[in-house]
Amino acid sequence: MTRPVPALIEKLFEEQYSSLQAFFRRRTKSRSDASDLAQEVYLRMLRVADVDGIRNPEAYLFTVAANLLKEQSVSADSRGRAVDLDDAQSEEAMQDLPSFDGNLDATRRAGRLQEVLEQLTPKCRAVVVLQYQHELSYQEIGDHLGISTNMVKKYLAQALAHCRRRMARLA
Amino acid sequence: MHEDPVRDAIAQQAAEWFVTNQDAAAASRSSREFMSWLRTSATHVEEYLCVAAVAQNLHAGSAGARRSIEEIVAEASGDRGPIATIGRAAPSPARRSWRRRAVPMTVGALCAGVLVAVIAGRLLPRTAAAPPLLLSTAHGERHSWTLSDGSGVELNSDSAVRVRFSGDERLVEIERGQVFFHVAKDASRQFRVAAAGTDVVAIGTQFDVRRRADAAVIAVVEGHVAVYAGAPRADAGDAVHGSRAVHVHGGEMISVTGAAAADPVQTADLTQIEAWRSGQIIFDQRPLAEVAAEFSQYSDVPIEILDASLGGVRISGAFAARDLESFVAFLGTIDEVRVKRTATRIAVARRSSSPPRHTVKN
Repeated sequence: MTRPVPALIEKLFEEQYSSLQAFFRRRTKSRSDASDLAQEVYLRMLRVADVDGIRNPEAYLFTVAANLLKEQSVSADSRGRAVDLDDAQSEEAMQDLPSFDGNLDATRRAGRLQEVLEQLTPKCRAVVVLQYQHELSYQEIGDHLGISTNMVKKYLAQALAHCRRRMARLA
Repeated sequence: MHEDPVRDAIAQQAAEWFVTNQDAAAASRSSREFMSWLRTSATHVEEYLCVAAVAQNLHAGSAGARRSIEEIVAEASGDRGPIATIGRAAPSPARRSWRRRAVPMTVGALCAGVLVAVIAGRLLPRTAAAPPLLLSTAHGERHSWTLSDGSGVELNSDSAVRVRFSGDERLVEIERGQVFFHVAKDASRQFRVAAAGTDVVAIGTQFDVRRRADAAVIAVVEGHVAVYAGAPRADAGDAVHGSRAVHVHGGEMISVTGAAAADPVQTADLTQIEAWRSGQIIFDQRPLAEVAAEFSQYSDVPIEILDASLGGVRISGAFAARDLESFVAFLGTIDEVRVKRTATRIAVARRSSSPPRHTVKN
């Protein structure tokens, strides 16, 4: 069988895939495939019959994910425990979300993020810095840069998606 | 990883949702929509969690090297003043913005560019008598190629085709597997697909051909194709085909066995075709055995169904085709199913007594 795609590219794809898997594996310490975590969160989301009953889906997502992480560290198979949601708990869950590239020390991680940020356009990068360093609101960022709130959101989404893709590769 | 474009698109959506969700007012307006987006697939959940992790890293990582809002705003607006030159001479504003924009695109396009260059090198017709080109995918692999005429071919797992382009015909023979075609228009050369004794002549269209041992299943997404049962003699050209053509249009499918008469044209399930092309397996109320067989197509670990009656249990879901583990985890959530897993096989057995249902309340 011929292999028309050079090994180099195959390897690149493989690395990207495995680093993504590693992202979850580092959090679960489970011997099985790491994307189990996302899948399990998903399955629990699917089991919610009354979607409208969830006031804050994002908080719900993080609560499920955080509970799952706790369960995984306690027992290898404790799937399907019921999840109670209150807002205080989900706040905590979001704080708890582990960071990317857990093996890297903070300095190296910051350096890498800086490199990735350098690839953005100046305006896009400014939006990111104002949001995450100065913690300005979308409205405030827009006022400073003379752009609409919608554009601020567009820039931020662009930046996050870009960083997410690049960081997965760098792990 | 071959699902990249799909994953990238989901990452982009995840980022957009994340940004929306940080705005409390907007988030509450669209919470229902967000929930249904999240419930699309496990990949959506995964990407959302990844984007959230990135945001947290950005927040944590920006603690040092703090610059004033004025500096940041000035740099963004191109008014560089004395503060913009950090370490190296700043290029002119026009050039600079071009460079900034170009970098992320270059990074993304790099792999694709290399891929295209390598393939183009192989696929460009050198002479009319160029040897046939064999394209194939290994077990669990998917790939797409652009042929020299601009047509696209996408091979599913375990598939192989021979491409024979000449001055007056574009012929693709399917040796095995499943192939999606996106045919470029070329009035002077017909585009013909041969599979298991069946001939498909396409006219500027998109269609899918799945070859089984001695049969071919043809599903048309767009345009229309003429299907001929029984291959023509090599020298006969169109004359031999003439009367036996069955025309299949967009949204329709047909199954042809060897030289026998074709089954009637039926409505095609196009979501299944979209699914394999995007590296997903989507099933809605389909028998467990059938779905398990589909996952086995992408995995080295076979799924064995020990209790035949379980094979008929109807299940629904959407999974990444390579994500066998998630599918196995999903099977484990079905009440009557017990999954036994070893390094070399996955056994699906009937659970002797049904345990209490797993529920999530909120």
